[in-house]
Amino acid sequence: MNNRNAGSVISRSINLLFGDENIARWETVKKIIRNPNSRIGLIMIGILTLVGIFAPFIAPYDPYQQVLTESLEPPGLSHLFGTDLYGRDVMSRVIHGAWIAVKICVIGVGIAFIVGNLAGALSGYYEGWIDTIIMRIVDSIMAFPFLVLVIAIMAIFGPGLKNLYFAIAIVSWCQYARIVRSRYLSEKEEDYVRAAEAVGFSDKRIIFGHLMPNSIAPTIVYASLDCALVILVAASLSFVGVGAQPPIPEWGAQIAEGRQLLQVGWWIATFPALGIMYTVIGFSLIGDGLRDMLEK
Amino acid sequence: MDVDIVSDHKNKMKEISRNETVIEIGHLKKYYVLRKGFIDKILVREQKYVKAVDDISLDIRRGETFGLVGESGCGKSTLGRCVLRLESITAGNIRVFGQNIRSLADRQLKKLRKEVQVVFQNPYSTLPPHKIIGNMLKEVINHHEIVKRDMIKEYCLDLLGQVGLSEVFYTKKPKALSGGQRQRAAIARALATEPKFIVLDEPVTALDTSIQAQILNLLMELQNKRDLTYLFIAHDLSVIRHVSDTVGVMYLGKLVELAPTKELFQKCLHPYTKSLASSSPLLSEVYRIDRIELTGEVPSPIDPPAGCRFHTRCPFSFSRCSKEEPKLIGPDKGHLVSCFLYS
Repeated sequence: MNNRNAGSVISRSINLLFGDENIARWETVKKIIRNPNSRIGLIMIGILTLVGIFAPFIAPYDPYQQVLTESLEPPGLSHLFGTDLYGRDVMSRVIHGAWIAVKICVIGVGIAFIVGNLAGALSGYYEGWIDTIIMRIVDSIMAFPFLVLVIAIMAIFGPGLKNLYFAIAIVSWCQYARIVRSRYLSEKEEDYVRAAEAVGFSDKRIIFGHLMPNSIAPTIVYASLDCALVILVAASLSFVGVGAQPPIPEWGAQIAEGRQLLQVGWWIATFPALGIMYTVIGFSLIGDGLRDMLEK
Repeated sequence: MDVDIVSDHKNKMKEISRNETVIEIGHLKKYYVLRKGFIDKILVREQKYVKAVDDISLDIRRGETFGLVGESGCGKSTLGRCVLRLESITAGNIRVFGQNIRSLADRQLKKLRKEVQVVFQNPYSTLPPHKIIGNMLKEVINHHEIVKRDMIKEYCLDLLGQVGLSEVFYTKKPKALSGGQRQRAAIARALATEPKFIVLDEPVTALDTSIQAQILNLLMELQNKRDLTYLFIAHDLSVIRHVSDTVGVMYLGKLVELAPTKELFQKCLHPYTKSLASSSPLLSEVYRIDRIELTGEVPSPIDPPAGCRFHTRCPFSFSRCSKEEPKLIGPDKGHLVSCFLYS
């Protein structure tokens, strides 16, 4: 074995720390980091997450604090991104909005990812009536346009951030289920699954230990692209008024507030929009990079 | 002299143990139900089956290699999968070490899984692609609790050594291995549970010739060392001749000829066996078998021909062949054939 570059030194020390198993895992991580797309994307989203977590310490002002005497100040030294109609600091509001964006991705896409993977695994592995039930549910959800269905669910549960997460999850798990199911259908015919059956492993072990690691890659790619989509959907919903309610500093809601004031204060809507753009580009880059790496 | 006596003794011991039957297959049938289409349902057509294995009986004795040969689609792999209990059995019985495997409690099934293992044909799909070889072995060993946990790595490395892989491969993923190395790793996995019986489902078909010989020699060496019994499935008669003690020839779900290897190749009786043997340049040369060319396709196992299943392609068929079904009977002791030419 040639241990010339820094990467293999690190992989050797990981080997010493955690045992041989983790070398293979580390190789994958290394490959993802080496890809320029996913590296830039990961850095962008990493910054976003850090900004979101430490928002209360980074933001120069309280995002809810109204100072009516400083209403509609253009970007300047005291307020870098200017102030809105009520004199709230736009920069602080955009920074706090980052945390909400991260939460939407983690909770909304996270639930959809887990539920979709489980449902797809069950329906792909067992087929039969389980498959029929799950796939008919998926079909009926996907019969509606994405945004319309989310708006309908929000109308039932009422507006608010919490309901927004779940509405997004309810609608978007279907794609994951379909992707995973099709992977399982082809993957379970492979000889290594036959061999696992011959060794006598339980269904649970074959599904989670053997099939899932080999069919999860496309859903990870899809999830990172889905994050971008979900950010946009959440912003659109807040924009039309069924998502986050004012005064919550959600980016879509901020754009909606700034919309009428575009001619007198362009900065109110522009900076949250840039935030959305940044996030969407970041997730798309990760998705592209992962696709290059994980899918052959 | 001494050496001869010792080896004589060994052979005698082998002969004694060989009479013990470990696998008994009795009138095994495996039918796959064909799904009825919409129009079939309306017209109330009768249910159709794919008769993959149709009434096969054979015994495998301890320590022997039973070669099962036939064209693709004749049901030989299905038979192997039935013995492994990866497929349900439509009718008949399979006894593995005296245990009827049609009805097994969970604990007995786990014991069967430990005692009966398999090596598959395609080296490129037989190993879980995300696992390093060491972890794959460990998982199997832990599942059957073969050795204590602190001994497990040594045991794995020992296994790899036995199949001719160096320790380097312990941390390698399957994609870093060549076809032959993968097949060795698959053999290591099969050996990990310390089985007594291994189904080899065309283990060398996908490998190139030089590697084939290595793998076959490895398998034979392991058989001697570990007192293993093999069911060797292949479509290549010359491979079968090299490894097996007894040969069964299958055609369209039926056993058409069953004989000790030497016997079979010196005078093969069934026209189908003759055609198989004569299609191999090496064998037809050695045993001076006249070339029999088969015409036409293998009939569909959904609607197999009436009478002898081979009569549609048999150059010697006569009127009786399409009316009656020949039985598997022996003109000689131990050499069974199902053909009217010999009854």
